[in-house]
Amino acid sequence: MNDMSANNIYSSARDSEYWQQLQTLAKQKWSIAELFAEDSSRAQRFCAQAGSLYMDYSKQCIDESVLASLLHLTESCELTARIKDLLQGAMVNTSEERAALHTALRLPEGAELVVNEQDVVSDVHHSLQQVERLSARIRNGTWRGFSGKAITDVVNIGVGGSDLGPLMATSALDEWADTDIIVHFVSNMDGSQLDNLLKRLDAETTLFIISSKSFGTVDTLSNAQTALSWLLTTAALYSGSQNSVLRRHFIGISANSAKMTAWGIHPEHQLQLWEWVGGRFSLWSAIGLAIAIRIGMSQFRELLAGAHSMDQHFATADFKDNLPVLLGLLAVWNSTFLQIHAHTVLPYDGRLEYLPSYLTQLEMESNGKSVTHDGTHIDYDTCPILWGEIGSNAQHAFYQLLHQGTQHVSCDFIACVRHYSDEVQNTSLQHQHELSLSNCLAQSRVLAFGNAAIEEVNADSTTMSAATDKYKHYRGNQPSTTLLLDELTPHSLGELIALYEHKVYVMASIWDVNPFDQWGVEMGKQMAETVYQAMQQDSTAPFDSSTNQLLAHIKQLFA
Amino acid sequence: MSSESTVDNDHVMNDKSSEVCVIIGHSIEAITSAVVLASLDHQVHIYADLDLLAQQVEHYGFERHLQALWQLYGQQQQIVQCALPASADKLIQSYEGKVGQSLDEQKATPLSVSCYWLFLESIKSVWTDDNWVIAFNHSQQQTTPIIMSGIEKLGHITKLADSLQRAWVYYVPFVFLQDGEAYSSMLKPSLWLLGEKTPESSHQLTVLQPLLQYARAYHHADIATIEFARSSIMAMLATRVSFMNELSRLADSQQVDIGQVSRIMGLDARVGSSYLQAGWGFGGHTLPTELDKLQQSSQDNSVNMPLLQSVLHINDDQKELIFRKFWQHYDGFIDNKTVMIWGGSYKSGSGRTTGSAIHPLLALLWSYNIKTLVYSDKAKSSLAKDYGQQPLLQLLDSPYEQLAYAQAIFIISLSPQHQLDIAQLNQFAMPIFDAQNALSRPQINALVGAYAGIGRAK
Repeated sequence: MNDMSANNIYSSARDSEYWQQLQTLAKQKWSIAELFAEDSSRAQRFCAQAGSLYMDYSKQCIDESVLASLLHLTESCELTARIKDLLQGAMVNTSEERAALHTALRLPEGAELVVNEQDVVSDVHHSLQQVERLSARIRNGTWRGFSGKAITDVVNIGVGGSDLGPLMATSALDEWADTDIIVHFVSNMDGSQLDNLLKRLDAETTLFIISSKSFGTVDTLSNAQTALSWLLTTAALYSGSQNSVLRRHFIGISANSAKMTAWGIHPEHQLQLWEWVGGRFSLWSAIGLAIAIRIGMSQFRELLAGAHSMDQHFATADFKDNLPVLLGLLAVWNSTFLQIHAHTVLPYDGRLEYLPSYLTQLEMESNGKSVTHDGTHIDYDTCPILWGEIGSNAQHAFYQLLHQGTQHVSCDFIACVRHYSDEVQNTSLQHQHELSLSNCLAQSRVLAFGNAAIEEVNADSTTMSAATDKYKHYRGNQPSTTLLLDELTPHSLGELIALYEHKVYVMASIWDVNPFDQWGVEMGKQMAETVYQAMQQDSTAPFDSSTNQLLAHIKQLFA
Repeated sequence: MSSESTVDNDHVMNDKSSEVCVIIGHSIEAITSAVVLASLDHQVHIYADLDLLAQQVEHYGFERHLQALWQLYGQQQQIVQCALPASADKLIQSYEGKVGQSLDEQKATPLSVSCYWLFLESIKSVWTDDNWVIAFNHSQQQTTPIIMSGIEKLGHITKLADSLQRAWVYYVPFVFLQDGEAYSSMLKPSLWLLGEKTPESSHQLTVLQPLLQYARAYHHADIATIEFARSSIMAMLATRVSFMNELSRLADSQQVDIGQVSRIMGLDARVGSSYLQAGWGFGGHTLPTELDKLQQSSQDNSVNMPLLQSVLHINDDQKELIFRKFWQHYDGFIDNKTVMIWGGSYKSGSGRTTGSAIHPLLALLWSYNIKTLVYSDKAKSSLAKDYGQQPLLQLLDSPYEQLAYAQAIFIISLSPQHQLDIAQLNQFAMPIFDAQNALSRPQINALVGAYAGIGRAK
């Protein structure tokens, strides 16, 4: 085991001279158009590549001096040591006093990692074997429901990381699905998703995965209870017992096996999580069962292998060529120094539909913090507000604000270069793909250069008059990074997601915040319990007048 | 096994007959045709991959009558087995002589061919359609009839017939063939269908004239019509089976015995009584192949056939219905049990297990670590070949052997001659899951233990 106590005594980047330098540099008037005008080799200078990912960050508001200072910050905050500690299982999650070993979830068999005298690699592979065993039984029709029929539908009940990761990955990799079994995702506490779904599903052939690290999440358990009641109603017609229903229709995934057992999950159908896996970093674990059911275990292992290759790149590549480090530093530069408080993720690929919401949780829950590891309140901006949408759809929604609004917004454009390459029958799909890629490049160009982007092309024509029209003015200068995947595969998706996980860690390291806790979501849960109690009582609620009045209105309509 | 030789001049010179029927193929249909033609006093040369032919003969060991005649005609050299040459030219040359041979040399070949009978499924892996069609078109004997048999996509055989230059081309579908009675069902066919390339030309096919006379029903038409009719007959039979199986599920909840319903339906002359038995569905080779080809034809022509889809879906699902009844009986808690299975062939009387419900049943039982004791007199060797290595399988020689160890009995295909010993069964009083509906109503009533059939219960 590594020295558990050594990890919260890193030096802070905030105290370094480079922080001051960057603050000074940020006061310059940055013009992307001018940066390009000054340097014809800018695109070659500000790009990087790892595995199947190509990253162009030349449309960011940076020059060599900014990049040099940002790279110096990594020394000031001892990023090398922080990365090493992360990968080796040191107690990087200081407030909860544990490691954050999502990278161990994708270590290949035979790798060595012992933490607290526990052979982590062997534990992980044991769990993967269980995922393989259960997913194979479901996929090959051996797994049967209470009436003896094979499973046709799997419903993943979970919220947050237990929902967004598997949802994003199964949707992205649907082309790799080689089963007729359909996977559904339910997360809403109010039951509306589940209610809609149950109307369409057959109780005899539906299996539920209950994913909750604590197995105490009320959102998830209330949905699980509704699913159980629904199953029991039908099972009664086949004289299927509750015992049989619990055993044949539920798989539990949690770090708390006692609570799974108490709920009624059969021990053989419990998959283990560990305290050292954060929910938003957990799709590589048993939480990915839904992915394995859909695309098969060998493709799921490809996803893990892709992530592992990014881990190795993160651990070994020079920081100036290191994709997660560069992406993280650029995000810090934009948010903390240039004070750009909004960031949008724009995949130009329908398969990555759920990537923006996945990254919203990954980044905002991780880095939405305002105290350092030692509890000191910080005096700089951390995580920006992050959102996103499939790029071509966003063009018809919020791009107006990006182009002509008053806010500065940084952007990540993501696209896959090859798609439909084996599609011989429908060349119009290939055409659509090329249209989409063109839009991706066009938008980043207009965002960067504004009116100048068109004027360059149409220098001889009369578009100047349009430029003079104020309402047709594109101010440009919105910084962006473009990430190109060679093609979308389980392996390249693994690389992409691991890239963002490590980006988050790099940002947290510069900001000296703990990206692995989420204390900010706790108080609301507690308060909800109190409000629920008050809702059941006749007496006037003891809260603020607003809450009391809202409660009174609700109770009046309930009556 | 009968003697093997290739056609050589010595053999040919010594033969008493001067006309030979040339059969090309190794399927049961080809073997049966060889025996039937021999029994009609024709000299037969059967061309095939000789290993496959030997395997097929062994595989159909349960066809006792056919086997005996095959051996006899082999010994008498009335059926001669010949290795199928790699190209069709070679085969034709061995009867017509090589191109460029002098007239005298050609005259030295005394055998003439009365017909070529091609079993299309057997020759596919050796000759391409182009190869043999061109070879026959190069043949000097364009008056020798060619007969084709086999199940192909609709219109395929018509296309082959059209690409042949000769006029005397025929198609004979084996709709009459019955497993276990191959020889007699062909000699006196229940329905003899003949597809003709040239209208009203059946008299050219002299070798098959006797069969035509023995046939209970006979019809000739153009090849496309006969192909379509063959497919339609098979699909209708399959539809009747699936329809009864669908009804059996409703019967389960109505306290009605579907077996009795089938018998009553059979009394109505409009319905007729065949193919109305509920059970685990249909298997074997012919019906599933036929439906598969029909489905391909429907896809190729973009014609939606929902009824056909349902027939297939019900049939697939039916094969594991008995497992579900077993599962429900034990509320899903079936792991590590030991069960007895009686029968395994795709229908009683046959030794073949192709498409039998025993395959999905065994796979499911084994996946729950259930030990399976199997008694199947006819299909024992076939099961041993498929699953000899499976530690959870034990093949028995008697139905009651080791019954004491079993916790349940499955019936897949018991031969009708088999007399059940109800007293022995009642000693153990174990539940019986009868996928064949093999037990009679009095037998069911006499059982002490539980009973679940298909659409009938205790």
